[in-house]
Amino acid sequence: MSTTPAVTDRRQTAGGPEVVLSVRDLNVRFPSESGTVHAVRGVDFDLRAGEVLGIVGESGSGKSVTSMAIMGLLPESARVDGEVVLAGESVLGLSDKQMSRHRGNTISMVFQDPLSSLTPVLSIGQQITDAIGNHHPEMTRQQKEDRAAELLTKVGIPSPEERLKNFPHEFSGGMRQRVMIAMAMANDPKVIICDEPTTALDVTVQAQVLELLKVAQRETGAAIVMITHDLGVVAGLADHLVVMYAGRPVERGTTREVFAQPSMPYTMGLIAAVPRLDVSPEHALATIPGQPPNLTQPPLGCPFAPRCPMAAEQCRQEEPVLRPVPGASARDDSSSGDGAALPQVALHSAACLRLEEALRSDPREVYGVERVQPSAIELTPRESRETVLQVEHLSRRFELRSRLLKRRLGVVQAVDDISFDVREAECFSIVGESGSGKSTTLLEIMELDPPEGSTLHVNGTTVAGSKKRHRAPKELRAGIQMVFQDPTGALSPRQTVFELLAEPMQAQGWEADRISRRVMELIGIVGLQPDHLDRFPNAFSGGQRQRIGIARALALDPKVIVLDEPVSALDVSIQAGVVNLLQRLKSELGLSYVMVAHDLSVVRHISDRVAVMYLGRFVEVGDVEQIYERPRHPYTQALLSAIPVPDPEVESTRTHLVLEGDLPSPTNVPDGCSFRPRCPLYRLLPEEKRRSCQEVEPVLEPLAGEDDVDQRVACHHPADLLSTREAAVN
Amino acid sequence: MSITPISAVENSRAAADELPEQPVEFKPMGKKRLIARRFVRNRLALVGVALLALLGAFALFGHLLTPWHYTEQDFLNLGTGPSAEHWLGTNSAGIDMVALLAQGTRTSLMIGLVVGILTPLMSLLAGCAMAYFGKWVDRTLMWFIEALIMFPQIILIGIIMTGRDGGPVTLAFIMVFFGWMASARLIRGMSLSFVDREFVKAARFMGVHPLRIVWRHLTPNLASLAIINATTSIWGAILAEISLSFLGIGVSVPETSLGLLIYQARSYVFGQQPWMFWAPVIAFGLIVVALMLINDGLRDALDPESRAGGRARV
Amino acid sequence: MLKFLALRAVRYAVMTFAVTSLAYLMAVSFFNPEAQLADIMGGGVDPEVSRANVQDSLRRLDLDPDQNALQRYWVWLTGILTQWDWGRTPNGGYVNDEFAIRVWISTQLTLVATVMTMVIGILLGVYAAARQYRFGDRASTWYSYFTMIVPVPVAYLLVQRGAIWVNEAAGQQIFYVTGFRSIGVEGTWNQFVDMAAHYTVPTVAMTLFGWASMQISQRQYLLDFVNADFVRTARATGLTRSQAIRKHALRVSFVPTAQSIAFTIPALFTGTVMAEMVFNWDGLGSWGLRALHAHDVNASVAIVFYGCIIFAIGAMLADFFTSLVDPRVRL
Repeated sequence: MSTTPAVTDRRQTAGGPEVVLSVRDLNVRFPSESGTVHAVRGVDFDLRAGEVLGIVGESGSGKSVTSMAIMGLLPESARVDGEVVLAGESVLGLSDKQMSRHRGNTISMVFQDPLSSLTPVLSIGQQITDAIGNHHPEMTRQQKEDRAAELLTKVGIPSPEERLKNFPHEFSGGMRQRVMIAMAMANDPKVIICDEPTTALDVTVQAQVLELLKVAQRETGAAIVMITHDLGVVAGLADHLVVMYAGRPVERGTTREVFAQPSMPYTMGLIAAVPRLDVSPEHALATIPGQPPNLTQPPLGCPFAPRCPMAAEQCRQEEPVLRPVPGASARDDSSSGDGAALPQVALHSAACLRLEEALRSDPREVYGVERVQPSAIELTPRESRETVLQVEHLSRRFELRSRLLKRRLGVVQAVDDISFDVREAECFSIVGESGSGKSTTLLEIMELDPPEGSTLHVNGTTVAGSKKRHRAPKELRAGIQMVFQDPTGALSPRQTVFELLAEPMQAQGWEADRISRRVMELIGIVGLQPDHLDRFPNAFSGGQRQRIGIARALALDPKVIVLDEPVSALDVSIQAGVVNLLQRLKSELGLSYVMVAHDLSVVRHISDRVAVMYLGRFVEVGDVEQIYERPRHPYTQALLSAIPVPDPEVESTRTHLVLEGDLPSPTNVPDGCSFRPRCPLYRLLPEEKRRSCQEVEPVLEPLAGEDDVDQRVACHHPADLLSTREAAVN
Repeated sequence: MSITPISAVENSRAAADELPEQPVEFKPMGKKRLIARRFVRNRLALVGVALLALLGAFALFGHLLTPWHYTEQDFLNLGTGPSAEHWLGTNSAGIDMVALLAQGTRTSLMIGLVVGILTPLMSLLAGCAMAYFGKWVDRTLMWFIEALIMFPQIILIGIIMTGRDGGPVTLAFIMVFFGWMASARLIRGMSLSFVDREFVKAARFMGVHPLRIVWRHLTPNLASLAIINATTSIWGAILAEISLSFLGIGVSVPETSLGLLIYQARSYVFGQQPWMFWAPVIAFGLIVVALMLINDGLRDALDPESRAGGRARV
Repeated sequence: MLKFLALRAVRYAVMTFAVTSLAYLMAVSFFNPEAQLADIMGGGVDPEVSRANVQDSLRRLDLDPDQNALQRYWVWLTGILTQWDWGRTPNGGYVNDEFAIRVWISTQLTLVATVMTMVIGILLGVYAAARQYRFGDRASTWYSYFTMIVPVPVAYLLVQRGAIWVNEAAGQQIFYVTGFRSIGVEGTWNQFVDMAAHYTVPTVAMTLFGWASMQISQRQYLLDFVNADFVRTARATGLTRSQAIRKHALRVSFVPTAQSIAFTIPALFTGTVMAEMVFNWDGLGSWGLRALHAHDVNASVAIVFYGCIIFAIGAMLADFFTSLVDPRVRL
């Protein structure tokens, strides 16, 4: 709590760039209804100027609380102990007023949700100039405005003088995040803390923002603390990594070290639990059983022990401390001077009692990950499998009206004449940015009441589109069921699990006996316990709720299950279990899926075929391996290259094709190829080739000379596509 | 008028005092029984019920306390103080105060109950109708609601009450007619957003019949809202009756009500016969206190997130 | 914005017309002015003669009881549309004239009370939110709930009584508790003092028992935003918590407050009627009540019209203020 001169001295004498942020034994406790929550327990790290430190962990691991404690933004009820030295000054225990001199000046922060993080009633210019003026009261209004415009230019917002007058609601999500970054850069801080800065954004925008953060770091020379649950994000960005679990750092080291040799079983599991975008899936994902511990009861022994496949008796007795991983070398810059005084901060170290054994083990073996074994039906050629769902010329349009005057603003063609079919035991995925129409497609299928001109064939029954609305017969419904994105919202809070699972069967008029028997079967299939049946959904964790949702979808033994972002609301370690479950069900029951997901890695992991959707249309459809290995549409290429890979070695060699701009307003779709304004290829094309893009809307066609390949592309110049990547790099 | 915020505050404080939730051993229990149990566990709510029961008994049987009828004049005792014969004295017309008070309480409670029960029902009906039928039904009713809100109600009530010499029952029905709009709009909004809730979509996609969806998912939510609304609208109605009677466009002689009694004693606030003024005021105060306690108890008992149920399981 | 306000104005104009017409038709069919008038005029005279007299006098005032409702409605409506003539009262006065005298009295009474109610309500709401759960918050919030359950007439009577008590204690007439001015006061200063002595008590009563809902809602709105993400962002740029709340949360919390003005103003209309009644002011409220008891169709309907206008003004003011504080609704 107090400033110890010794600490300051050491910092100045250490070699390499100066240490701008140093955290020692940080502890945060919150009083709560059910006792004291010990949210952060003993975090230490040093951050040097120009460095990027990644803090990785799942929800509840204490990573965000750590950052808020450093910023002094925790509620007054929180008890914070330890030491935080910011640019030579000990800041823990400073009053709000004293701390406010640092916030936004020496240390600034970028928050997760750009939609709610800007004050809606103040203009962007006002908010940025305030951020400057808070620390530079001597600047004139004009100076501040010039600086604000300069900042907006830096973060890539065109015509900054005019945009300064705009209000947050006039910006897209990605633009708002840019504004947030501009505010964070405003006073050239020494440290920028980014708390999940890209989680709420589309992958394409995420790539833009990550690029921008690198720019910001170059511009200001600031050190960055990157807090995220996404291993891919830190792999490409961070120099050092701290993995947190249950409020404690459990492993730390350079990013390369940690990814190359994860030493704590939790880290191993985490890395093996994430599906990879860049390799074709041969293995199931590692699943970490159980849930993170409740932080109100301080754990006896290792907090991870109850979930750890390697846990031994001693793990439940004493809590391990961080110790150097054998063979790890001290960091170059800290080996000089008295850096040896802080070995634990510099070295690759892990908190595991069985560190030596862990090092020798293969993560996949530790977690008992199996190879994916295709079942008989999956080995049958696609053509000879039954078609379970066929969609023909599906369209859906909405009218957009203004809020106050109810003026008609235009028509949104949310889904524009798409067709596809799904065979037995096949997963067909639709990917694209938010607003591309992929979720609408799913809902239109589930309504089983397509608009005129569209036709659905479900399990051999044809549903022709008509103008009048009508309800689908329940027999038809039985064959196609849905799993929702938000497992909490999709389960009625007033029903017990039994009632929830029984509901679809009751709707079909099953007898009570049969329902009970089926319910027992279902909970076995998805891995729930019989005593769960009497509980209400709020007694379950997110992963368990999603299992309930899946069990309910399975109840009527449907052929097709429609999955709307089935794992995006779940933590990494939980997500893997659900993905594996879905994969197993597909293989064992011969289920077919129509899935929408924004996580392209998950899509690659479980899909057989994939469609890329842009502004209501498919721009590329085909076999998942084919498309991921040889994307032909520039949009597909951009999407795929935007996803960071959770492997620093791979990430350092990858080039990101960063797509400019946001998805255009769906009321205002350009003529010709709708992707044209953002298309990197279009910009490179000679004038005469551009004409077709401007005038003719491309349709899905097989590639020339590759009729036998399952890949169709809606682009006029697929032959030139392969050069796009190279061209974009230059 | 809503008293939500403070009771929300109270609830959260109450929750903070509670023990951590015990692992629940599930014994299937009807929802009604569960609610009843939660309510009964709340001491203050029970006090409220008891108080209301006492007031109700006084309203129904209070006239037995005195041989005088509330329309009967005792010409030997005009405006006298309390005596063995007239426990609370008589008013200037020589009518026994106890008889008046009992009758006044009866009228006010009757108005409160009629309004308190019919208004939420009417809102429920209108709100659901708007949400369900949509289109022109919705638009017409919305216009109607807006017009009703725009109407200076005091004058309209005045036109009906003075024009038709209405009694307490007429007054109650007029108040129902003017009281349902705000909650109807609320219920309409709730029902509309309900259609977009994911668990409703899920039920629809499972092939559950729409009526069944409404019965199993929408009704429980709306019913608790209506029950809580009812208690507040009871005292709202009694309050409104007092104002209207005071203005001479509510209950009028020979009938009587708390409002009218207050009006008649308006010059006695601290004058020669203060009890004439204070007795009806206190009767009203007791009704409000009872209803507020019950309201708080119901709110706790009906709240699905409430943890008040955990208290008994020790 | 102007276009939007214009559209709203048209909408309210249509609704005012509908509501006022409906009120007229209702009043005509419910009221029975000749019976009321006969009571007054007909003391001791032969009932038949008196009845004829009354009908005669009403006919001269365009209130012919023998015409049917629609005929009378038509006469009434053309009178308003062509000459802005709202008709006569049963005792011969012109509605326009009597209305004009009283609207000013009522407006004076309401205006100060309205402004005070809103200002105090908002300030206290902000104060309570800033001191959440502390004494100031509890005291002011409990006071608000208390005033919300006290019947308005009882409250006003108590304030009136209090003023009388002050007068008695001071031994002289500091406050007037009835009427809106004394007769025969000369000189500007004296008139002002006299006015203040009359205005204080009703204004205080209306304010003291008026700010409750404003206070409670403002408190809640502000509390809703105190922990908003954007307040955290503002703090991260270097503001202290209280600065961030003042500068960011407070402004956003005014958005719902501005919208609630729509319902505050009509509520005050009702409050004014009660205040005029208790404090014996001859404003629109008392006049309207007398008109109701006299079964005076024209005067009652004029008040209904006035109420509609007040409502429309309130609603449009709310729209206007909302657009001032919330850039999201600007068009």
